[in-house]
Amino acid sequence: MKRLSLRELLFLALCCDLGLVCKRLVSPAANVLTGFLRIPGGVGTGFSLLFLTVACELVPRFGCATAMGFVQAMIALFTGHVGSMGALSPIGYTVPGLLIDLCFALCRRASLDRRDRLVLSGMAGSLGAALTANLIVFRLRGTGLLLYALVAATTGALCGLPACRIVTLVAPALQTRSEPKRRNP
Amino acid sequence: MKRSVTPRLLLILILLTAVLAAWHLAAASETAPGTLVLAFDGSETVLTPDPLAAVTVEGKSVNGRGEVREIHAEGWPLSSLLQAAEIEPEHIRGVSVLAVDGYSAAVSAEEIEEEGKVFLLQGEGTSFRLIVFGDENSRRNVKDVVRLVVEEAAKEAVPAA
Repeated sequence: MKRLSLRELLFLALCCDLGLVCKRLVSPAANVLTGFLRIPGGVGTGFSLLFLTVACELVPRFGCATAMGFVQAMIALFTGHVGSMGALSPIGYTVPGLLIDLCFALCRRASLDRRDRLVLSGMAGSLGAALTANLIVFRLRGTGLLLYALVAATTGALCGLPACRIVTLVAPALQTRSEPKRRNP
Repeated sequence: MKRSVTPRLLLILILLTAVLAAWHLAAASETAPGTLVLAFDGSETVLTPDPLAAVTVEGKSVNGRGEVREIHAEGWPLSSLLQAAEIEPEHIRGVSVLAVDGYSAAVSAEEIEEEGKVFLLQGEGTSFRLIVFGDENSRRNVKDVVRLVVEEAAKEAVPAA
């Protein structure tokens, strides 16, 4: 298997950090929306996973998002930002990453276009994160759980649109390889 | 050329979310400010904690990061609220405390009976907040409590004469 370049590794690390920071930045606004809907969350994670989908699109290797989710979990654990999941937060971060990887693999096999890949992967990741959090912490049932899952899926899918824009902007910079310049004879 | 699935998918998700949100909000049980719903033995009653019976609650709460927060508020021991509702301690196996957003936490009968352990605090405005002292994290500190569900203790079999 081809090894990742230093440029790609640095990009993945940057996306990990941006995902964590983004979640904290949008949390206050997300809490207003979830408070109104009377659900305990499901919006902020979609924005956090946006950067995982961007990384997966630009570094197309299976396991990329899972590894990033695990790294995010370790950063959250060591900095003490584990939220209500506590010591189980590595599961809460890794499961969405795995789902994003699986979704990307399926979408590439089905030859879906870039926007569809990002939207579907964001939706799958966000839905996975919501259901994992529900299993570990919230224990919602009935319409509360259904609404919570649907809000998470919708947010994840909507975050696929800015993700697509970011990919379009960043792709040229990441694909520039340090190839030797050919001299004009 | 393949057609993009994104517009249709987003439209369906947004519509479904809007419909379900409206249904969820319409079905949510409204409690009057300053009151709680107490479910016990198959029936529901509205509980209004008496502000005059409130006590000063002081202690330390630890969150998931290990940060200690000093608590100094007015509130009621959960045991006293249950007694006011004429629920005997021997009939209680535990209590599930539910917030307005569906978040819940469970406290056992032993914890309720332990002095200085489980309180319902007067939160911001007319809302209530559960606090369980001695926990390693604040997972059971439930904001905006609207409902208490009392789980009944198993009734002991009466020995035959």
